[in-house]
Amino acid sequence: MERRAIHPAFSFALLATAFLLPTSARAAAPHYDGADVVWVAIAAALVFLMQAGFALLESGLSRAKNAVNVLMKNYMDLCVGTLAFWALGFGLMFGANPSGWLGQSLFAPSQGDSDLWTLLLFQLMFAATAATIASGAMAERTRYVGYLCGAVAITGLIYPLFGNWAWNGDGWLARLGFVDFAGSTVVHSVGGWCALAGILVVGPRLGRFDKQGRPREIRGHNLSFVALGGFLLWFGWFGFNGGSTVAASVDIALINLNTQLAASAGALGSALYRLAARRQVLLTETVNGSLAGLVGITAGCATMAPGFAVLTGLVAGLLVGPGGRLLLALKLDDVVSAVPVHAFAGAWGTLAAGLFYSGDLFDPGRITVQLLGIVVAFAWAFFAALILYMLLALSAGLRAPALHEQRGLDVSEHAELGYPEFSQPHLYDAEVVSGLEPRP
Amino acid sequence: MSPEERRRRALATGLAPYLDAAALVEAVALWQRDYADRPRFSLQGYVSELCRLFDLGEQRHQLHLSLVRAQSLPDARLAADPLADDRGSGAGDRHPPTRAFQGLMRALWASLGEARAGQLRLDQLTDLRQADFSADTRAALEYWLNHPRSELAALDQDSLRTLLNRGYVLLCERFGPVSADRLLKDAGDRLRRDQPELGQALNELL
Repeated sequence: MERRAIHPAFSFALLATAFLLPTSARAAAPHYDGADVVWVAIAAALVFLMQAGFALLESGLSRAKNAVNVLMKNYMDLCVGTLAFWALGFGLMFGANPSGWLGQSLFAPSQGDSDLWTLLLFQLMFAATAATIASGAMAERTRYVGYLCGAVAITGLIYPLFGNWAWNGDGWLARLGFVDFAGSTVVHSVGGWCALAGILVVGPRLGRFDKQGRPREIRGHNLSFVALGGFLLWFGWFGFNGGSTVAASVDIALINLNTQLAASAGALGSALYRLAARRQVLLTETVNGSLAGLVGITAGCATMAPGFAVLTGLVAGLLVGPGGRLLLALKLDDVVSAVPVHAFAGAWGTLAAGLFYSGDLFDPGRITVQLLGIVVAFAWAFFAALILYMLLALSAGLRAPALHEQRGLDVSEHAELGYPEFSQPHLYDAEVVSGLEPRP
Repeated sequence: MSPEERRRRALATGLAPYLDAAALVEAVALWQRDYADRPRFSLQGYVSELCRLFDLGEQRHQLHLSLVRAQSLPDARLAADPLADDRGSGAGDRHPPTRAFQGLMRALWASLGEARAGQLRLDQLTDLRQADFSADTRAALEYWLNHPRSELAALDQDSLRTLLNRGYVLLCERFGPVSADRLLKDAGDRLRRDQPELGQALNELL
């Protein structure tokens, strides 16, 4: 089952609504029945829960003095992203698309039917997922307002434009046969490339690299949060992939089985990499390995056999460790390894969806289109986000001042402490915080 | 009594109704640093800066009048020179923020050991050249960093906070951010334990 087979029909239904086609024309468009709507609504809620997973994972991988700030960014990028996608992104992505490049209707939709509301709700959650990927990579040194402005631009413009090309029935990539069922590239690589641009512009945390350029370890403050976040993301992914049928269909069985297999293989892949390198197996990399497996299978979960899902997940998991080390070699500070997990594994998964397409294995034409989609996603999302974050750095401000990093962003941005009653490895306890001046 | 000392005593007299003891020392130190060498003392500019620094905007007129009146008071009615000790060795003794900063840095240096503390002071001296401090402040700090057992002249709280933050950045660069947090906390805890009366001043520096 290809997602692109769904959206042309849906786009037609939306267009029928938007342009008030005659009743006979509208009757020709497929409609969701009650079971479809119930399943998609549940799937949307599952994808929503992934936000909690991201929040826990990213907060756990940050230092205690920035825990609240990470949670706040995850909480609020969902909110501003929802509004931006409703107002602008959804229309750009799923509106009438005569050119194949840009949606031109369905902005801030307030009139429609259950079909529209069903897909809008589900797609809102996807957009928020794309936006939140950058928060973890840029954690601990990015200003709150600057980050949220970036989230608005990602959900309102960067993500939906690429989504239009790949998922709008008339999108130019979709017409070429690009396969990305639930968004390895559309959601995850786009988010990952935005994260890469973000960490390039914002720079590493103070002292992350020594004077010789060697990385210093900055451990997360709560690995239980990391594990719990991993579990929640994994759980939510059944809605992310399974819900992308946008129908209560029997296809969900294979999709969610592949999802489970790839996640497991991804965790195993990251562990095998550590063992092969004769290093201890880390919880953080294992959780990220499973997430990489999930990201990897997202493109081809509906169109590959379970054995290939295992292979896809395994390779995705293997990419996490070397991907993280590549970033460190380039002196890039990705706090949660979002770039390897989302961008690299997403790119691999999109290629794998072409390689392992059921009934048409290793088709050179399909593989070429998949590679084209991967390259275009990078070129668009990375450079658009690079310009965006550079503009934000010059205007709203992106890099937190050194004093904020000293105090921790919980104090400097929110005047709150994540752990006011616990002994902390820094000076900013409740008494000190109560006497600080308001945020400059 | 030199004209400069008389001017400081007059300023202290005029400022006394509006500032507490620590802020008063800061305010007079500000004059000494930025205004004393000007050919003509600009009271308006000084009052503006005081209003900005100490949030006295609503009392600006009264503050200005108070300073003008104090200039014409006889010597016998003037307050003591709040910087009198600064001219000698007891520099920061009467200025809690400076004492807290000095105590914190000394505790930090002690925990680092002499060799690493010396490296850090060299880093701080190099960093001073890039910092946006007045020539007087820079000179006072350079002297103090080169003679760490001497007393640091009273500096305003903003300068001290900036210095502390720049020191933290240097700690992060030299020892890593996790160690920097730990070193700063240990130094702060030690200062609070040894000189509890400086706890509030330390909080205001952080």
